[in-house]
Amino acid sequence: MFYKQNTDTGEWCFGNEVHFPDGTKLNAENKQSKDGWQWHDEPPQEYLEWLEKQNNEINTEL
Amino acid sequence: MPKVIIRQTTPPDVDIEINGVNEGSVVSGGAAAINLEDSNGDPVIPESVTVVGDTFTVELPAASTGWVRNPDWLPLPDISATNNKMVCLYLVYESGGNDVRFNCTTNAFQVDWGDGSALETIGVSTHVYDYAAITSPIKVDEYGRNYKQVIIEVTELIVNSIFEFRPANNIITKGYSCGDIRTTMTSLVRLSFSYAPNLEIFEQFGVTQSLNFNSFYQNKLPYLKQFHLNPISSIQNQSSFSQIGEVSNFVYEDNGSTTCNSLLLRARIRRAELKGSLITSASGVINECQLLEEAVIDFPLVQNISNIANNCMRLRKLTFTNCSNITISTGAFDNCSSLEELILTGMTVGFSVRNSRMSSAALLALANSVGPANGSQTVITTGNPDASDPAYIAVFNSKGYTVTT
Repeated sequence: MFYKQNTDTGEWCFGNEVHFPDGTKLNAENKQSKDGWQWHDEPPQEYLEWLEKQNNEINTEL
Repeated sequence: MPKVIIRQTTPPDVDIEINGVNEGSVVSGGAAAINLEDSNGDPVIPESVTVVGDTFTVELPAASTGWVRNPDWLPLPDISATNNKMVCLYLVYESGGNDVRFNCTTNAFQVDWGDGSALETIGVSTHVYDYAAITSPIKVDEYGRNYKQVIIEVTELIVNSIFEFRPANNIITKGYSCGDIRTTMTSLVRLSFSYAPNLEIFEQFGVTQSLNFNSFYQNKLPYLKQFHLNPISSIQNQSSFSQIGEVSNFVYEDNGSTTCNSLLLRARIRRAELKGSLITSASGVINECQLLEEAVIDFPLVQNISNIANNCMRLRKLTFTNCSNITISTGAFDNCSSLEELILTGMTVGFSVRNSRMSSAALLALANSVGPANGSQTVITTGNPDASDPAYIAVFNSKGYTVTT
């Protein structure tokens, strides 16, 4: 799956396919990196840490 | 019980199958009646049944709020096109406790109590109704209590005054006396009660002052069904409507405020129509509205819609009339798992509609609604039924967006 962190907001985006305006399509058959999107077979540690932090914030709010 | 009649006109006798399930035999020349029921066993009345070949298409009615105004109640006069009036349905109980109090700017209002008594100019005033003298028919409430009805009509003599309404709140009637309210007064209306189970409709048109609607806060009016407020200069308490009662249609127009963050947080509303000509920050406005099915948001200057609609699990249709100034959309539509239609007119930044229910047509309509991307922007459609459809992706790409599916 492709992952990308937004450098402005810190948010992570991910998806199986990424379609770029220039026609480039990243997917399981084309795992090149482009514009911050990177293929990871497993979720990257930075993403998991961000996700845990998000969950903790939600739990704190509740 | 509604029925779809299937008639067999050619021999031999046959079994009827509906979606592959045998529903019994129909004698040649005879007819089979098909009853439609919902999962609760209640009859379902089709809006139409069309037949093409051997396929019957049964169109079901749209979801209903299930609420209808009490048929026993007098109609509330339509004063929406009349300035400086307030009308209120007031219930007068046989058991007593029928006083109504106003605490208003002196001589600024004239009232017709609706019971045949003379018009009165009010200030700090109390009126006690005589149940026996009221001529309207006797009705019975859900607790078996007899009541009669009057329509209180207030005329505003001096605009922009203070109007405080204190319905009977004694041990007998509690807050039951106050029924529906409609007002076109310019004055600040204070509803000085915290529980009014018969107040199901509140409509306010044309207010020019800032309002502080604490009466609506935190489920104080749990039976409110229709709410209409427009236009006003501003809301003083931004969370006034948080957790408001179960409202089938919430109409709100605010032409003074610049923020309305969390305005309807966790409100139990089914439909919302929100307008705000100066609002720039609308974070979490309809966040966690668990009953909300449809919303139209008209905030032409809004810049921040972060978390505006997240966790609206029943939201099916969401329309923004103008997104051209939005710069922050973080989490705006997260966990909108029922979302079928989203229109973001003139949007120029990325957003996520992950795990919604948008079809190819809906995704295409969404793509057509947005404006050109402001720099590098990403739209996330992962988890939608037709997320891989190239048609809408091409439209987003043509406008400069990267699409993640």
